Amino acid sequence: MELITQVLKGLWENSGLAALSWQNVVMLLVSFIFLYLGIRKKFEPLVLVPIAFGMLLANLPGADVMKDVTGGFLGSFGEEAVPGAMWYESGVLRILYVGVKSSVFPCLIFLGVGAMTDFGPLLSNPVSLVLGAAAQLGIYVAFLAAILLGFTPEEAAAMAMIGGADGPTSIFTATKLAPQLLAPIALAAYSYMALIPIIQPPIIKALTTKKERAVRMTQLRRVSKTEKIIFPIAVLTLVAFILPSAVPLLGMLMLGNLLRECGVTDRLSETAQNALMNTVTVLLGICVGATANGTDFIKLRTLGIVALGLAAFIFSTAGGVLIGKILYVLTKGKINPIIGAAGVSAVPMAARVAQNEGKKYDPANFLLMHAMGPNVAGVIGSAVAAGFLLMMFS
Amino acid sequence: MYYLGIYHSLYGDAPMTFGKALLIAVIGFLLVFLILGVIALFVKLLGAVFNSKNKKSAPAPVPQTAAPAAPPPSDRSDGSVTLTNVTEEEAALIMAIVSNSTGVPLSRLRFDSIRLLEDEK
Repeated sequence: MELITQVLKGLWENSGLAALSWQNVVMLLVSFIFLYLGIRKKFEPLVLVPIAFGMLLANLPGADVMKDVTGGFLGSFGEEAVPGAMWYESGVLRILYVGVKSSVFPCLIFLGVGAMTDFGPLLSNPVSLVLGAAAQLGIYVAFLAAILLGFTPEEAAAMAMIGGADGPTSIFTATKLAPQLLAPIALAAYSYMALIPIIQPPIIKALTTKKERAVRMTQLRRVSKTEKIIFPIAVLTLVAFILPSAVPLLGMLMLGNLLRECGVTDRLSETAQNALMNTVTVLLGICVGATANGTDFIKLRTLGIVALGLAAFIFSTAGGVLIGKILYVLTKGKINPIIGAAGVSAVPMAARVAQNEGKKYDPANFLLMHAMGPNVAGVIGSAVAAGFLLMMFS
Repeated sequence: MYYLGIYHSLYGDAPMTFGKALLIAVIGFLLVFLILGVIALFVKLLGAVFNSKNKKSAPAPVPQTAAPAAPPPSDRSDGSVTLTNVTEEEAALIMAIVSNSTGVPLSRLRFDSIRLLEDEK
């Protein structure tokens, strides 16, 4: 009888249920909601589903997918080293997490984004760059708010980058400035990017009139192939001279774009756009999600970062729309302010939101290509903003 | 990569006041505008150069001696469409769908190219 009791006790103590904390339960529920939003509501499923699943894996008790036996060598904080254990005995996602920690994944994502980006709309309408710059407002507002809340300048700068709506850039900056905050920053950045269709429309509606939202924009001019080849090389060189700290991200973005446009590296471009991008998206998404272990994640400070990130995102959208309104007045109604919201650099989600919002007020209005200009300008803008913050604080 | 943090080289480890933070935020925001503004000017210049080049290489317009031609019938469109990995039937279908869903007659729409995109990533 005693043996049976001991066995049952042992079974219970080694079961997942015994190790389950309320924080894990909360995060499991959040992961279920994210999976629902990604699969059922189709909110950026390519990003949200891997993140949600990573979150699910990290909060399954006893699974230890993010266990670090090296005592921090693989990027954990506060975990003690297991004597005699080798690094490859760590959790599988912890080992993959090295790609996030080293900024390899964010840079590879930028390579893929570059290969998928057509800078044509930006080249045919250079005013897009102004909208892309304006939509970085949230970064600086969040930076000020974080300083007021008592975060260090490095932490404030890392958190502020969530406002750029650019996951890879946020991760890149956080690893350099505040690695201890990488998990909540990465999660907030990617979650808000996925939730753009929910966050942006009310802000657009609140800041614009019905007449402004219904503006039809004129057809874009044709851009020659040579212009498209010169652009990535020239922009990278130009930015590198002014802000060398932006080069790792911008360099990969422009390399990807050059592979796409030069016409002689189709195979490389194809790989960067598809196989490489898909592989890195899965790995990055699942690793980012796995950083959200309830026990470490549900803290007042973490929730503050998530809230600040949302505020940054809102201000960035507002900045783009407000400059869009100014351009609407200056051009006598030729620019639809909605495309300003696409200046946040979540490509192409933000441009799609602009297209959908425009269509609500005029079903025959096609803003997508016009919104792609500020959208890709936002990618350059957020890389520049990150370069500035790195130069100031790293 | 390691950079010299400008803030720490100026102020050491002194805590950041709101005034300093505001200054940094304003400079940072203006710098983004400056750099993207310079890129915009460069793009404008590039566009102007290529536009003038295209105009020079374009054939001179044929002097018109006859009366201007009548406008094309309202149910037809002119020009050509570049098709990439799309059959003519598929292109016709796409054009018809766009015309139907927008309520704009085909004669008022201009299609430059129709290209098969890879699955969205």
